[in-house]
Amino acid sequence: MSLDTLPSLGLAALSSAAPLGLAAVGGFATESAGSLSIALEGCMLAGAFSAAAVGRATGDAALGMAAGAMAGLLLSSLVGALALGLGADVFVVGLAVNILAPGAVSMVSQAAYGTKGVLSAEALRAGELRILALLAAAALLLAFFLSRSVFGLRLRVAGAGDEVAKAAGIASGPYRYAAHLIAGASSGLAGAALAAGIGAYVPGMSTGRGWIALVAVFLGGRRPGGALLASLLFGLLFALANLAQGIGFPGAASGAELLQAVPYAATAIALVAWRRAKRGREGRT
Amino acid sequence: MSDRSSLSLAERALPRIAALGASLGFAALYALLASSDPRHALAAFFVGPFSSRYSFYSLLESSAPLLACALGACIAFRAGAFNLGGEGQVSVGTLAAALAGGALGGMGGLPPLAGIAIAILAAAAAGSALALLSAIAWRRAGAQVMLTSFLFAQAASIAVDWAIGGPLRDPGSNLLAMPLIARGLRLPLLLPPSPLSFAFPIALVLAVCAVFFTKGSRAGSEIRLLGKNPDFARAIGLSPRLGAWAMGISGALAGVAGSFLVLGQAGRAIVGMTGGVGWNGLAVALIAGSDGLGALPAALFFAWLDAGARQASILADLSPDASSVLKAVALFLITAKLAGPYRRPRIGGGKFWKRREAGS
Repeated sequence: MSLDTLPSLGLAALSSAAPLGLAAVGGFATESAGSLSIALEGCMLAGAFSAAAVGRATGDAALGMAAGAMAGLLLSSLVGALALGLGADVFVVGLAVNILAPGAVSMVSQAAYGTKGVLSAEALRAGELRILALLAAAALLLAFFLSRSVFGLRLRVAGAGDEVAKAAGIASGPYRYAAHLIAGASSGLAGAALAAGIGAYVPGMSTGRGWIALVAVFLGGRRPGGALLASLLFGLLFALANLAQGIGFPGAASGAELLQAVPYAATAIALVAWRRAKRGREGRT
Repeated sequence: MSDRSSLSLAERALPRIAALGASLGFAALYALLASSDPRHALAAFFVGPFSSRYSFYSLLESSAPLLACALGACIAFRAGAFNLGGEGQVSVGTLAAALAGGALGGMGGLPPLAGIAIAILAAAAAGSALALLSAIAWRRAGAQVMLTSFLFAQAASIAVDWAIGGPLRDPGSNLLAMPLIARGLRLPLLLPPSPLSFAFPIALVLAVCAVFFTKGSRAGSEIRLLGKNPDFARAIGLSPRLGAWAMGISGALAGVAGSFLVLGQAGRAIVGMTGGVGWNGLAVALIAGSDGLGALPAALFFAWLDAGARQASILADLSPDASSVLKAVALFLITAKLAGPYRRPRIGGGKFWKRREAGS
């Protein structure tokens, strides 16, 4: 790696990290409200598809991004309605959304475009840097909002349990619902950014990033700022894997795809190392 | 959990059957709305999978890996362990079975049944090892099983797909697949020309074993206790290793599911052949309430949805992907309190699995 690839690596890391960070901060909102949503992955995928579909139809990147956020919002309102309104288990509902999203997207794609494959939307690529800036700003603002605002505090109160919330004079339900909506919209927007990054929707393009965002929530010590930092680390990993794939490392031209496994393995190792260090600090064996 | 176990079998089963029935109602509604020929589409969806022996036996065959995965998920959930890595554990199972099958095929002189058994065991060992990584990460460092099991499995899936489509690929084939395994080392077909193989009876035997293990054996009862009441389990001195055992068994069953895929109709490992069976197994286990007895009908139901949607896409104009939407609807209905009492197994609630959380 020469020195002049560094700035481009930094940019690549940021553009991988921004969607992860936004989804992670959204996931943090649900974790903080005591109703962790595992539906981020499904919301991301639906967001990516909707962004591509709307971007393609209107030729407008902004509308595409908005559609991505809307798709995530829609799915997460379903999660919220089932989990909070009908007393469904939030984990099971989240899993169901993750099973639902790829199937539903593929059905819609087949019906509307006659293909279940790649859906190109060049219009989304119009403002790559602007989208990166939008996402980074959204992630930072949301993180700041959740950690500093009265709303964020109330989310945490709601997360402390129904009795605590009651004692504090707060109805926990609406706050949990709001947390799910935030998580859905932010992961939908994150998915839209994935589609914008390559100017197309590719089936399965979220490839577990919704889960990585959840890891970032925990790795960040359940603080929004920490989640952002963890996302930066993962963004760097994804960027490095892509860079190495682009260059091809010596002697193993066919090994490039294998590199895609590295961010997941490295994330797992980071998680284990962090938990170990934390345990050491707390003086427990 | 006490309220759940005090319910009778009928009280537990009826709301689930009602929810599954309601999701079939959604299927009918979808056929009516989306098809230009609803009558034909409905017939294809609901009756198609049972209309010929071939299609019915195909349904049974495709339920075998699903059932194995679901049994594994049931056992992990019982112990309070969130094994979300089923998909990757199936994936390493396919690779191990294909490697073992390929290696044994070249040797000869081995009774075929022994060869098949070795291939299945190799797959079980591979799946088990992957799941145990998460158990070790939990025991040694307190890293959440729910996160590490997914991450390890995702990395493993990518690596396996790379290996099958790259260095191990059969150069003579157009598919991204490994070479075919010798006929004698594949699971014998029960009723040729249908694809029904020994995988299905093996899965049934595994289901019986799993039910016996969780309900009748001492280790199984201890694992249940660990999941239900970890404080009590610890107080009476049960080993925390039990959780790791449950993870290992869970991964082994997912690995066996992988061997069914390879040693069955396909006869080889193909890139992406797991096709979501790990996630579907998890869903089946949740629908069955982590009960091995319930896993069989739930797995058959999911296999029916898949087969029905496939038939309706071939014979009529519905989408084969409708099945995943219907599965999600079934999960929604089963967990919503509309359908009566549902308690998710206390995943991750166990103190053995979660005690590091207590202080934070």
